[in-house]
Amino acid sequence: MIVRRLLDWQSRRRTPRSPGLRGGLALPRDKPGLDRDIVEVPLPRVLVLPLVGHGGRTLAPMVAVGDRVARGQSLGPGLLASAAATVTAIEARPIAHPAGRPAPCVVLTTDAIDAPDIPLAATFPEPLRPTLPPLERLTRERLTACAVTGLGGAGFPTPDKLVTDTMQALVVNGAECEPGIACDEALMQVAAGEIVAGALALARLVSASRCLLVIEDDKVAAKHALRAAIATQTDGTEGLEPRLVTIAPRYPSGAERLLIRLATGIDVPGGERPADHGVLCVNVATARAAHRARLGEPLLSRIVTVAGGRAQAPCNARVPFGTSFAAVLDATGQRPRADDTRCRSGGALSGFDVAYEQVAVTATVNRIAVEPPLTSAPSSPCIRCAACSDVCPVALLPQALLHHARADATTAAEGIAIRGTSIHRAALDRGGLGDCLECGCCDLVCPSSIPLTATFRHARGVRRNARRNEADAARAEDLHRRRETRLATRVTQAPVARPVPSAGSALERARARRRRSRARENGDR
Amino acid sequence: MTAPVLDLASIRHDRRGVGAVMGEVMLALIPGTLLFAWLIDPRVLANVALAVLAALVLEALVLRLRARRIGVTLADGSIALAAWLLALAVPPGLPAGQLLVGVAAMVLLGKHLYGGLGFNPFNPAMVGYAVLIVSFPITMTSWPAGGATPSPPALERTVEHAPRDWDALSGATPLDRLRTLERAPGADGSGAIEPGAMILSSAWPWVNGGFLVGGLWLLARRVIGWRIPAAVLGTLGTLHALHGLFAATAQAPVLVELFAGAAMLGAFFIATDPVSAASGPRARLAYGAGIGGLTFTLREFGAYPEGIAFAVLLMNLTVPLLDRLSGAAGTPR
Amino acid sequence: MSALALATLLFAGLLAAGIGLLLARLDRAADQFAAGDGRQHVVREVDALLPQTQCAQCGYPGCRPYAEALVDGAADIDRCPPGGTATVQALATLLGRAEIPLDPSRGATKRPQVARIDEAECIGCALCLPACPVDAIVGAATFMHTVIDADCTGCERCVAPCPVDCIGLEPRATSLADWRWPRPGTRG
Repeated sequence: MIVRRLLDWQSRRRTPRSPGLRGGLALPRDKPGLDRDIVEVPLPRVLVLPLVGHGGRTLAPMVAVGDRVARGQSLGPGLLASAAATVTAIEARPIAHPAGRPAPCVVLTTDAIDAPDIPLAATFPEPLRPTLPPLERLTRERLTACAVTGLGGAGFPTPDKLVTDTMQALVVNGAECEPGIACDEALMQVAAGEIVAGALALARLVSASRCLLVIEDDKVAAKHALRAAIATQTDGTEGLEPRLVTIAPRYPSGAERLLIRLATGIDVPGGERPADHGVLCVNVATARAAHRARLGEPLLSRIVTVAGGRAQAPCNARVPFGTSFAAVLDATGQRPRADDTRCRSGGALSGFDVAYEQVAVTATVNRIAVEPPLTSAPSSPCIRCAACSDVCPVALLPQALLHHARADATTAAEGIAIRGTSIHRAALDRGGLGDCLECGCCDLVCPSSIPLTATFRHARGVRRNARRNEADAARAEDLHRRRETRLATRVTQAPVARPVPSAGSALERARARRRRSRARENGDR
Repeated sequence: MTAPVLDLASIRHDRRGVGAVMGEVMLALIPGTLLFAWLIDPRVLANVALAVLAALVLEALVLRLRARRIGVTLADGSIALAAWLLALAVPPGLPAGQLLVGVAAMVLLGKHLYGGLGFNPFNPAMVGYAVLIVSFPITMTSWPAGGATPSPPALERTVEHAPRDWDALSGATPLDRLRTLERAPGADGSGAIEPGAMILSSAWPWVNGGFLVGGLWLLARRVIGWRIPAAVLGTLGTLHALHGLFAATAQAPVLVELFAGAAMLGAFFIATDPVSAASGPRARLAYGAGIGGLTFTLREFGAYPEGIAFAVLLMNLTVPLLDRLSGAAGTPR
Repeated sequence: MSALALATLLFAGLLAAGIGLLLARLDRAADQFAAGDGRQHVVREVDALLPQTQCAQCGYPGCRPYAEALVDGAADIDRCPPGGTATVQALATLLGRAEIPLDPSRGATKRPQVARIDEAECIGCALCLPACPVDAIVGAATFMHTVIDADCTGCERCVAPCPVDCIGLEPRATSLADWRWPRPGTRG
């Protein structure tokens, strides 16, 4: 219908006219700790490494309690020991995860000889400590062996991103758009050469024809450092020249999909992988880890912005994986005040609160903050001002999505296989809920203080569950249908009633045994 | 109640609450209101004060009955703003009792009947105005002369011979007389007077100019978007221009029409009420265009001199459809 | 009669005729749909709402036969315990029937579960293999049997055939991968 096409907001939404960032917010620059050197946090006595993979799946441990492990040894698929140590326990411990539930972890007690591992006043970048021989060219196996994972906050294992052998472009994300986090900028200022080398190594690995390093305009020192590093590393790279792309500082330009669009013009719809569109996007710290992996060093630590307490000076620290937040705060001299009772992992918008300071730093932790409890203004009804849609970087209409998300009554009917779609879930899909970045821009501008992002996070979870239920049901239906086909086409053999083993004493004994063991179990409970 | 997940307080971004937004709109109304009081009739200030006070008191009472929190809701300023707009829309000489009826209709029928802020499909101020104009047609169409010159000769002769104890002289607004003139030139015995001069010589363009200034300030402050005012004025202007080209009788120039009556107040303050207006970008353009078109139609071919109020109310009816067609369906209505 | 009145009458007549024709066409299309493979289409839609547990608690040998019975009117919508009340509601909406409570004689709605074979007890008789509607048990005569967790729907059809009663149902294991953000304003 013509009128619908004329009015249709959706049809415009899918194809943005220009590659610039639409919406988003220009937030004041807040990059703590750049006036100081990066602090080296010494190896603690106890390391806690979660047996949790990307997406939350539980990893099976490859070691047992009492085992001695070497530095860089595998403790589970993709999990390495940060130092030479002994496995003291494999048990549930609190971890840095929004669920707030404990998860199975490997608890290591470090050997005395390995701690402290580097003198505290070391210069940055720290000396190389390889556990594997250096390679001429980086390989996928080397990335796996060194457990190189995404250090931008999502923690996606880098080897799993290399789904094809050839990509159009490699984009290195140095945008770090969220206020309050400066770990990437600190790294770019001191290790620009390693970052560029890592970018080239990855670009060669995927035979990319373009290698782009993206950085925000206002990161002046980091920009200069990268430019200088690029200038010294352009030859001998098989015609591949890394380019520095500067973008205007705007939140959330550093989100992977948006950054890819800004840097290359390629539009990756929500739910799809950038690799399927020929782009590999990695964080600057990941690129650096790839470089060090080629030289044989596993990824065992990362830079973290530490902003503990309001009175002290925040800093950026290099922290071995498995170090508890409390140990980091101690080592960096941050003493939280009495009313700073809340501990947060990650940024103000992308992070989450963690219940204890005992949780350990992992690849996904980019900031530690100890702050007073969160307060939020009470929310009032939506006044339909559409400020949220003006600011949405992926051109959604949060007001409409809010209505449908709230109206959809499918909440925690956990696991009950609900199929079919309600009007509201269908409207959410059409409205682009799958594209939502959960960036928080809409919350920042809403005059009624409505918890938009929290609602969308929940709705996206419901959506994910619905899709998983659908996939499970489809699988069951498929298996059933194959079975029916198989039985129908079987000409020679009809299912024969096999004789039950004679009801003799063996069977009786087995049954009696079963009854006894059941009774014991019931008695225990 | 789960704790909030985002730490918004630590982001240095100034965020305006609903109260602040309504407050800025009220600030923007001040220039136009003061010009109105100075050039047309100072009683409008009393009307504004009375309407705002009555609205606040009545809303507090309703909230008490509905068992809602009074302080927070009154502080959002939405009913005070609506009352101010209603006071500007009615003639300054309107009896206080009638004004209170309008306020009651606005608060009860225009807002709380539907559930309060965010749920009303109609613009509350316009609901109040509509109830008043159909209930009290005489007093609602009695505007002060507003300094319009030249007065029609017949009127002047009457005034010359006016006895000392006449209380007031009611008359039509300049826009009203313009219509009469346009439809039947010479009807009020004024002879061949340039239609535009009728409006320009009155104080109304100045008042409209005051509202325009306020509206542009709101645009600059990003309190309102550009789409609705642009669509309203654009459509209204275009239709007046076309009418002027093809009409049999002489018409006022387009700019004059745009500065007449409640055009500027309507375009920037009334049509942009976020709750009752469309919310998608293209839907807003269509909404504004519809208001402009209906205003023109009602002005030219309707019985009332000014069409903004009913135009807005009629377009409010179409908002759910516009939002649905543009994929922007929001709060359940 | 004036020209205007005539024109109005003509217009009204044409409009009425047009609407009438449209309605007749739609009605004819609906009849064609129902008579032809329209039925299969509706059965597919109903089947798409059923959980595919293939447990036969509804009294039919699988979800698809139940869907066909629903469309033919032979069964009512209250027979599917694994689907729970949500499925009853969805079926009521799709088929335009009244929503009724789940029939308790069909069984209770349970949390997701998987079958587990106690390997210490299993005697390798392979009687459970043909019982599984989705072939989720692997094994062979005299070899250890085991259940493939990913394929098992928790339908419990394997429990009865086992002569040593070694199959039990356990809640499906959840990990952090199943955690979701709670609805704001609730405990989650």
